[in-house]
Amino acid sequence: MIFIEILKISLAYLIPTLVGLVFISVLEKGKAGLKGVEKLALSFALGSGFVSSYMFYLGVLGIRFNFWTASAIVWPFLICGIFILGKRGPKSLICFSRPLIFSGKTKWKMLLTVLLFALLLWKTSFISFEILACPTYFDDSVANHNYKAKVFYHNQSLVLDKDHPDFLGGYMPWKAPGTSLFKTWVAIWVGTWKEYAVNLNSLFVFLALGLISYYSLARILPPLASLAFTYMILSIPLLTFHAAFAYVDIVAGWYFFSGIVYLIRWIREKDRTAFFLSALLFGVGLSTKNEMIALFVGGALPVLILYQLITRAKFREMLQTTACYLGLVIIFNVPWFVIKGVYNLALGIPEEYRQLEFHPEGFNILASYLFDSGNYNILWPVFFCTLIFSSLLVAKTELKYLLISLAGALAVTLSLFIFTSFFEYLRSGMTINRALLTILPVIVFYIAAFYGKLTEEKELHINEEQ
Amino acid sequence: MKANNNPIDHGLPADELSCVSLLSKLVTYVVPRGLIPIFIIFSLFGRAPLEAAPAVAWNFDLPGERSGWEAKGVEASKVREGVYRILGKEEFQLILPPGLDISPEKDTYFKIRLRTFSPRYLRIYWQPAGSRARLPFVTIQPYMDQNFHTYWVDLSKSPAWHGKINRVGLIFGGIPGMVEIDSLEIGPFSVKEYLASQWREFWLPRTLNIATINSLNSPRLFGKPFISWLNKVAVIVLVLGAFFYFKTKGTRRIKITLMTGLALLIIWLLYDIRETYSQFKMVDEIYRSYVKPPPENKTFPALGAFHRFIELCREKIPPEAQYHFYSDPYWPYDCRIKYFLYPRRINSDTLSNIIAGKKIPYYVVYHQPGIRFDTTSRQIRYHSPEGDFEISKPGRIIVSFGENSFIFLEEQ
Repeated sequence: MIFIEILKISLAYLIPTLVGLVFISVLEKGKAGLKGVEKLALSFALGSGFVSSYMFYLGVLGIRFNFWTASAIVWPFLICGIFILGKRGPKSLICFSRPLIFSGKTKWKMLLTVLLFALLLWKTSFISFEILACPTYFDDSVANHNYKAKVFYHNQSLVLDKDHPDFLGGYMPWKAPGTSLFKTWVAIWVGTWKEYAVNLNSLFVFLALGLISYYSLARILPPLASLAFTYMILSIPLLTFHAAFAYVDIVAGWYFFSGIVYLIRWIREKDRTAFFLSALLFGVGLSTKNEMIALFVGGALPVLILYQLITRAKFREMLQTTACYLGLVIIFNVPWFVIKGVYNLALGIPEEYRQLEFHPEGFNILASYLFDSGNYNILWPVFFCTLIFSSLLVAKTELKYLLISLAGALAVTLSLFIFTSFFEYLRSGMTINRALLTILPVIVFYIAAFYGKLTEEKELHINEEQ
Repeated sequence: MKANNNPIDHGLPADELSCVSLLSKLVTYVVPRGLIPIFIIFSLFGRAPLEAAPAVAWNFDLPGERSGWEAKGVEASKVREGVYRILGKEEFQLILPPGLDISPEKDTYFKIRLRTFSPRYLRIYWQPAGSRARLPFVTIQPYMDQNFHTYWVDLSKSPAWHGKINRVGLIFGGIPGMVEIDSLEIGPFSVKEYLASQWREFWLPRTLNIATINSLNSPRLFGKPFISWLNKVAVIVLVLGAFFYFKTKGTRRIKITLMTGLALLIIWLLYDIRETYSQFKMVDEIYRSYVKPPPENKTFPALGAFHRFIELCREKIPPEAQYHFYSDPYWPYDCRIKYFLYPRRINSDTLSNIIAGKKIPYYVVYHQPGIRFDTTSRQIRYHSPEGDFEISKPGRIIVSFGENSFIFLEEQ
């Protein structure tokens, strides 16, 4: 029985990964630009997002969720995967290479590598223990994301009757249902509602975040430095804690980070696959949290437009590129936006928080969280110093795009707490750290990119094995 | 990737006296040979004998030790297992016995080990011999993380701390709730004892509670969050790194960057290793309270036996049923019972997902002493300051769970 349950859970997570894998392979058109493990992590990101969107479409169309309707999305991808396998061989689907992280190192570097791996292994074990052994614990999971998933699973649909207590998940129906729908998908595959099975999502998100960050950093840094910065991302105390207790902020942070990282890769390497990946990651990411819309508008869109302005792209070309990117981002979410429009659900923050008011006292409270709490390790002072020191370099390098992205994301996040009555959540400390959590991996990436510049990174290491 | 082509894979700089070597010394010499011994010394202090005896001290280990204490505004108090527990109103006072005969020149430190269960502040005041005037307050803001903390207050900083001190009083203000005092002393400063208590403070476990997801506290060292010390060190390292970076040219700059990066990584590791300990303690706590015990003894941090009650509800209430829910307080139980018992539907003062028009025959009462079963009328009665009234039709308790928790089913 246990074996069958493990098999079902494995399939629940592997099948979306397979869907993503086939999709990315089609996108790559035979060019193997992505490393095997990186591609796997990306496949999970895209695949789980596709599956969530697909479940939403089923719900909107009034088709009941069951094993057969849910698994219908798999078949086209499976056939396509078999076709790719037959035509281009298995390597075009996925190709693993031996990582060089342990090879050719001095004794102290080897020791450092082992220490970092040991700490990462502990964090993975800690997260696994909390997920496998504990019932869902904290409020937002219990009252919102997991509750909605359970409601969707029980009703086998979205419930679009506004007067029904289970309407759109039954709790705050204006909140994005992406993560909940993926949990519903997992429950459908498992055949019953299992706390640990649906919460395992955040363990895989944690691991995928690490893999995407390592392989992205490895393009601008040597293996040990890439590992060190990846370790820094994964060991941000609040991030590890959120992964252990299945909170949705880490999922939003994962999509925001991946979206920005591949956008920057497109800018650096002119790689069209990275361009599409970035747009698609934001596309599926928008359905994880309402705040993702603001983060996308503040953190990604200005980068896309500014890059084209700086490189003096032709107007028509610029229009095409921007429209293509925006189209890919929005297309997945059209039904969700339509539903919001039809049922008059808030697109962003609720109306009571939209009144402008200035709270300068918020900066002091914010400082106490950034510098005196145990949420971020030493990240914030290092980031602020990096900002000052990198000011000479920013304009001349691609760092400016990362900085614009960060400035935009921080502006939309912090302005809510400083310039609206949402300030009460800063004063009580209820959501400020969770809101900032979404941006933290990009902050580490910025520090890493600056470090890469200072250590005289002369060329990209894109063609070399990691 | 050919890692050797990159600066980070080069060896350390030659051992010459330069900016680079200074930084490399900082990283390779000061950190392992400086910080590690400091930690060892700290841990030894934790085991060292105490230096000087305090002028007055209470440990609450012996019966009658509290004699002579005066209390105002206290609702209930008792001494149990060496801890003085006080349930107080918004403000309550504890006045130490008269005739303390404290010498302010020698006995300069007030030391208290306590924990509070509601947001509180503590004000200390004193009276010199022959005076009835209260002298200026010294205020402490206790941390509210369910751990005992030791607070050291240097009373000699106050100009009024002179002459013979006859009485000392403590005023606890803030939100009503329990305060527990483990020990209290006034005496001379002891370096050994101070370091030992700081070492203990540093290793206090993080308490898992319902609000932990919003913010993680840092362990404390010398009265400040440990992370605030590390943040300062990180800034110093960065400023030094920048200074040396701009002083040199060429490949040395790369080496300085590497050294600075390595130093920051070591600082990061220091905090992360402490954080790893917190995570380990959390796993240990959950394992001991929830995983290991048999089903009838399982508890969960901050929720107690709530999950056992949930299991009971699942067993007794059919999945399609609707129920009224009462608990005191509602949060954190209301949203949890709603989630864990779904598709059973809840109706409470704070939450509802009931299907209108459908009967709600079940009454789920959890830790709510105001709601009781009346054996005469066989109804559920609500006891409130406004009076008692029935809130159900006749029925029966189908299962009890401890003193104030049960499931009641109305007769059809």
